[in-house]
Amino acid sequence: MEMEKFNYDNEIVRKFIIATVVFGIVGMLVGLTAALQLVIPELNAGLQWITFGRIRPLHTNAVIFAFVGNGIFAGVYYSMQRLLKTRMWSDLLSNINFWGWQLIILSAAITLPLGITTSKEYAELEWPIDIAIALIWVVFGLNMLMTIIKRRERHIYVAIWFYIATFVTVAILHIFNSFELPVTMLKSYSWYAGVQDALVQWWYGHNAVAFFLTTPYLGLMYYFVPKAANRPVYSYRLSIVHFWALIFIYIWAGPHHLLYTSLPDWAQSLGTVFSIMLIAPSWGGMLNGLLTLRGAWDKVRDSAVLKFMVVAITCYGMSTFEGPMLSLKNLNAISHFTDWTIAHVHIGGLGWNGFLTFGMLYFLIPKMWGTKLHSQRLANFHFWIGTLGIVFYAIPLYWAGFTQSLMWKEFTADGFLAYPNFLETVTQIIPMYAMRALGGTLYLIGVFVMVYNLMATAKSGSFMKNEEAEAPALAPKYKPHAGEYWHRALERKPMVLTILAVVAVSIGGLVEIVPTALVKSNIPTISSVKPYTPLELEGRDLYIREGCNNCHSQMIRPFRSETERYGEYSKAGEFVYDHPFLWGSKRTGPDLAREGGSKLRKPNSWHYNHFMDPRTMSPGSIMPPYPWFIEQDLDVSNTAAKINAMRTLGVPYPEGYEDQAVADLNAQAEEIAADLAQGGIEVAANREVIAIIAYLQRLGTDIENEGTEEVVSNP
Amino acid sequence: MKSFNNIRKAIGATLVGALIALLPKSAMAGNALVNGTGVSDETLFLILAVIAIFQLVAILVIAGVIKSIVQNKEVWQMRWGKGAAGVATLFLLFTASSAHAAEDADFDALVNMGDTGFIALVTLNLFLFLAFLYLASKLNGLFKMLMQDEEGKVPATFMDKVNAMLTDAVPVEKEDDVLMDHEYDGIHELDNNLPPWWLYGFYFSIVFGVVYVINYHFTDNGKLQIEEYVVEMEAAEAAKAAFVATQKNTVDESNVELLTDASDLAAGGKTFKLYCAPCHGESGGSMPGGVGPNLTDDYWIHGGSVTDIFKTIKYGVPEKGMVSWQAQLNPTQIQQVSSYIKSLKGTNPENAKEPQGELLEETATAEPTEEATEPTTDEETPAEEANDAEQQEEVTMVE
Repeated sequence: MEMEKFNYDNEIVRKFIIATVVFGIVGMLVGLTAALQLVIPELNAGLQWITFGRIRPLHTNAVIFAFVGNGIFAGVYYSMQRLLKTRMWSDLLSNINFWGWQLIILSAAITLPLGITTSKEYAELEWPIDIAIALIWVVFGLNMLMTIIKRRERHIYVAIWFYIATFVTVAILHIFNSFELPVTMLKSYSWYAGVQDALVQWWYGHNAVAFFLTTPYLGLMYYFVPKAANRPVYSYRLSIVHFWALIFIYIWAGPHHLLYTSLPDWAQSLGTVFSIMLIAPSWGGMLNGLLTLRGAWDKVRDSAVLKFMVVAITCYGMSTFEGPMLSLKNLNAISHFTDWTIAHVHIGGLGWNGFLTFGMLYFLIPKMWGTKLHSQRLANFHFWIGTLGIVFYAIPLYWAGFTQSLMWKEFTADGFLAYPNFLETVTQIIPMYAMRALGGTLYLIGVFVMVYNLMATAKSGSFMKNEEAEAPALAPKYKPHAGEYWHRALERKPMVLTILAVVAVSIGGLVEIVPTALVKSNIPTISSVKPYTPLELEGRDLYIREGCNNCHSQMIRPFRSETERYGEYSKAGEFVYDHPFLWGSKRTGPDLAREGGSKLRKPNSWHYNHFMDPRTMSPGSIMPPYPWFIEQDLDVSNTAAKINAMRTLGVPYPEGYEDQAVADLNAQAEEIAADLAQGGIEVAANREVIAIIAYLQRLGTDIENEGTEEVVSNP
Repeated sequence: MKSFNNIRKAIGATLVGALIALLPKSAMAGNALVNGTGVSDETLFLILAVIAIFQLVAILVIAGVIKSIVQNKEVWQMRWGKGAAGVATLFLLFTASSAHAAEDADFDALVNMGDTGFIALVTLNLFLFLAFLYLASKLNGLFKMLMQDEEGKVPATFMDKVNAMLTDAVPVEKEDDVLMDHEYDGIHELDNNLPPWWLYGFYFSIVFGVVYVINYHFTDNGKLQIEEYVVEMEAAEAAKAAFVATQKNTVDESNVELLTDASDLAAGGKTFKLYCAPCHGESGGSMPGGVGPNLTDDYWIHGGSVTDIFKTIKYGVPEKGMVSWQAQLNPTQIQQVSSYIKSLKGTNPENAKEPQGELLEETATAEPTEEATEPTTDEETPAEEANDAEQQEEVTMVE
């Protein structure tokens, strides 16, 4: 058989590695800043661009899409060429993929601090960037599929199956969750409203975890663990079963983020049961990773690479067990909205994604630079301080989440909330927040040590830009072995496998989302719920701009402890005009769904003073002051366009109302300004604070008006 | 060697027993926490305590066995044996002391601690169980070592067989038999079977899913969230009513009286500082531009008698921004705060807010009190403060 000579493109891998490291540090630094702000609220230095609400999404986007994202590309571009015995199909597409992705990250780093956001978690970027993401992702996918087509290896290895599933599913998720109606170049409204928006968002959000943080990394695990340990993969059959089960079941689990909300019960139950069924498929990956190290545990003691990988896979196993447990209603009732969730995701993020990335980097750099790792000692130091960092990060937050939840739920014997003042439950856990920041710092120190170690390693070697390789070309005809597994045929037909993967990941989403959107009985309407006034709508957009939903939920769950604290539990019909929904996922501050309702309503002057300095009204509060609300004029230049956009989305503003909107807005603003003036507060009616007060005072009031019965309207 | 096998079997059975005992307990723990009603169910505590004692005894026995084996000089020289012996000694000490403590513990007090006591007991049991597992595995290892034949081979034990059955893995030494004939960039794959424990776990989770859906959506058994909420609220109402029935005097707006005891006023002051001060100022005089009105002057927007103040605090005046506090403060607390506020009258704090009260005609329809309509009437002068009690009666009569 004639051997063909070719080169592997290492240059593209090098680029992605540098981006991974740089953005890893940036993303973690932003995370550390956000963590410290919860202990020292003054840390934003009075600057609106770096308040918690704006940099929390910056942190999540940076570590998910910039750090892990570039890590995926680095690992995929390295392993895929070698597993398929060919160079990437197009160097041009590889480079477009690289530079396009970095530009997207750069635009995120600019727009998010400016408050340009859709508010939907891990999908905060505005519509032009969404389109760019879709295009670059397709470039990546096209380059990958074409490389697969011109491969020199007859069968495609399990790692590649995971890469394919990642590509198709992320494309589907991103496109459908990003359906939004542009108002301006930098502002859009979600196509979906309320309950539907929440369902689509968490179908996306949950599967961003599944198909961006899990499946590509499982692929990397299947390549780098056997390579680094020089051991055969434990079970081929297990990889087939867990691959298909994982991608099919994962998609269904999204609603477990919405337990006890206004989402219909049947959808919640599907979320719960599919999460439980997900344990085994997830653990299939863990088992195949750990059992591959059978007979190589002595190597683990000596090799930093393997140590990182073992902890990574163990963390994967832990968080994929904990996740389903948190999907059980009784545990979710305790954990949801608390720091428990934050601890949980960081076991996955710091442990699984972070440590697997580090292991991969310690493996790759010596290989690509043709040398040995500069210092095993430093790598071991990184391993231990990183592990310690994870422990110090997670345990305080588990403690904090559990403590706070119990405080929220505690009643006195005479039937009163034991801690009626929400703030008491916050000040209680601030020491835990400080510990968590310490854990994050330890972890970050380890990363810096790694950067030094890797740079010293690279310096001592010489980089092979193009690595020579050879392999025989594929014979045009192939005769299957007698008695081979049926799945082998699929591994020879990557396009069929791709299509089957699309089918597998589509079913769950269709079954859950389509009925919620089409069957009227799922969202009973409430006639007293009316569209927002133009001023309230502008106030709502300020709420989105500042990322208030990162700390305040708007979803009162049907628990006594919540209805006593906040008022009547939230109904699906209350959110029908909410494009996007703002239910939130974390209560660092209290729920605001009924902030304007009779139980919680405060005077306008209270809100004004609270925005000026939250600690005058709530001593000990860790909310930052928002003085710019009072200094900045409300931008009403797009109000008419916003009304039009909302009408297009089905909000019943009368025809022609857009012409009257600004006048109505001004009239309502004057009323609020006059009320403030009566209390001795002089503020111009055109300031932003007036709009945000109007919005907060509106929240939860509709349901107290006439016509509050929930009605299932006829289709 | 036979006798060791018997001991091992006994320990295996104990282990399974303990597991079974733990299962329903954790299920109950979930319920207790979620219902938030607290489990003061004595039987549950009794069961938990019995399990704890049971585990303690089991640990005691194993620790004793390990200690006696390891004290055998021959075995003592095995290097890991020292560690186990040390741990065993520690546990013996720990067990003895906790058994002693358990005798002294006031069981009733623990029961009355509700969730906290419950969690403490569950945690204790969990720790004991972990300790039990650790010692059992150590003992097992010790047995294995003792049973080595001259070639160093250990006869397959029951647990080994169970283990082999559950994992169904081809041993590393024989893995060439299952090495598949393909490789990718040097990566080979083995053809091991699906681990049976994993596979049956997967089947079990699917069965769980089906049962779960049937339970909640096709039978009347599982309560969906709104139904669950209704039940929770009914239980809470009943519990509250039962509690209130045990209290002698419940204060409400029909019988509230001014308190003058220093202790009551101090308690009221404390509540005031915590909840009222942000809007009405630390001194009660608010401040110019402050959110709430000055409570130290003679001007009242919603009436200045203790009854009026009690009602204003209890029900709030939502349209004016005064929040209702009846869900957060109990009636006695409201009475104390009301009395404290009355005691602030005439304190004339510095930098207080200007008088408010001229808005009476907009708000109050029920009780046109003299103070608000005509701030300069006699009743409002500090000299007339002694008449407060009389005013109160008047107002009550107007109602």
